[in-house]
Amino acid sequence: MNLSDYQSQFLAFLFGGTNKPGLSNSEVYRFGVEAKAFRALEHSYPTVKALVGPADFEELALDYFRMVRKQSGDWSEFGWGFPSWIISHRISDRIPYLSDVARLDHHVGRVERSHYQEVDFESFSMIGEDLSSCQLILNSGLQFFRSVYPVVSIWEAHKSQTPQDTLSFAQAKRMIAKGRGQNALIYRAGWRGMAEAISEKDIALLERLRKQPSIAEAFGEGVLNQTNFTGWLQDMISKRVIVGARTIH
Amino acid sequence: MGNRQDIVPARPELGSSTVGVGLRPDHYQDVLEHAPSVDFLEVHSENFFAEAGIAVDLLKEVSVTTPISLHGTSAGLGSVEAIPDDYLKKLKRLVDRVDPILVSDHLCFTWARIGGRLFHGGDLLPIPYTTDSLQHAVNNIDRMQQYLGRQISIENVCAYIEFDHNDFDEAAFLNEIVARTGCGLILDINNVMVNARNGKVAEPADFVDRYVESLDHSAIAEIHLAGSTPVDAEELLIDDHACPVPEAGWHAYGRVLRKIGPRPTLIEWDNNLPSWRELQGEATKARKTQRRVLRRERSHEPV
Repeated sequence: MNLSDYQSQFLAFLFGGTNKPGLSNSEVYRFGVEAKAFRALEHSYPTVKALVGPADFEELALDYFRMVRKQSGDWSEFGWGFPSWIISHRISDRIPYLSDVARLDHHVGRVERSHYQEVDFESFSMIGEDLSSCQLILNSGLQFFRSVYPVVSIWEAHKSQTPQDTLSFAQAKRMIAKGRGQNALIYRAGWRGMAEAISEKDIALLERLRKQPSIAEAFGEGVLNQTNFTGWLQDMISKRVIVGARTIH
Repeated sequence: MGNRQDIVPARPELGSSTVGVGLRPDHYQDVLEHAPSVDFLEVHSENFFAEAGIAVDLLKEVSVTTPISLHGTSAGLGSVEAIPDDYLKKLKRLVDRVDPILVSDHLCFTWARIGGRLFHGGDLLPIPYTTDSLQHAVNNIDRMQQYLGRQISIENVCAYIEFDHNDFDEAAFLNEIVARTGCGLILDINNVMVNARNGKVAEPADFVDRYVESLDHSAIAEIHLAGSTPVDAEELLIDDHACPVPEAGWHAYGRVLRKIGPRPTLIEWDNNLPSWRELQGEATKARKTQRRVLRRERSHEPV
């Protein structure tokens, strides 16, 4: 066998292939990488693991590793497709919100490892009389998405060792019973990724801001006189969701 | 083929009798609270490949006061496939961020194509020591050195499988790579010992000594010491870096120092981590071994 074939076949074996290389102890490497794959996913998807339990999570991790395989040299990147892969896994029949929870876990990890812009406070002085000539800057490291499930409450509850004892758990249970979902905003506080539920109005606003409209287009001409806007803006600045303003030329 | 004169050597500040330890997430807080009493810290490069975040910020901060040795585990320098640009780009960004004293990785493969697509094996996978393997390793090492604009060092690995055919023994293979690329070597004493033990070599200490004797001593840039969890005689010993350096490891280290002279030495401990204090205690043992051996050597020098 030539070197290229040996290397390809050995990797195929590591990913669960049935053709065992003709070399004794090859399985030592397979056990090793499977353990690493499990640890990488466990680290990236703590809420998913808490929801399904260690045994089912291990099965999920191995299924994913064998099917999707590893494509990057960095274990922290392994599992980026896990949330969408889970949708078609049989476990989603039992826990239909698992994919959205995985998505939230993934976004939290991503926010923690991405460049997260600082607020440029001075830039807000650019906001003048003409609101059609300036815009607010949304943090490029920010994540948000809609879910038909109460993902933020589920995520919050499972930060506890005893999720059933938390208010978030009770809230999630109530919302699932009523078929209500949540919109998740994922931001960074210090180095830590945080998630919170935001209203439909707020997520629609963030979606609009991502398209970089002028302040007038996004909020209306008279917005600076509205106290709820300044309160909202202060809250968004404190979370570094809005990180500055700029003029449009 | 590489040209030794083209390669910029590693930063020269690191003294030959310096001792460092591996920095792992469990000890981040300790390092931030108290300046480490070691000469350098080693980190696994890929753990700091992120664009930003706590690990990256911590490493940047620590690197201001403590020299950093970047030790990769994923480059797969022995792969037939070229190391992907994306990997090299992230490594270069990290090198630029922390200005390490040493950049290193292992003599193994990790990348391969299955059905035309490139995958990563996630472990230090052994290669046969053939002329074909040699050419691919040389190509990848050359490519990495050119991309980074500096010398890298490569480490001997534990191999749990044996190949039917080799054109070189491991030391000769490493020497050939050094001659062709101008790279440095990391001598992992524990890996040599584990291979000797798993290969059921009759006299492991002699095996280690012969191995070291055969290496190009001038290329050895760093020595690695580690421990492996003991197993029953019939079981395979795994290089898990989960316990202190064994007595046999310290003895071998002493003999290596006598043979090649002092070299920067790293204590590796990756699993079942001890307290930061205990880990630094292992570094102190390495320093004492160096002092003992080198004092004895000097006392034997002719006047």
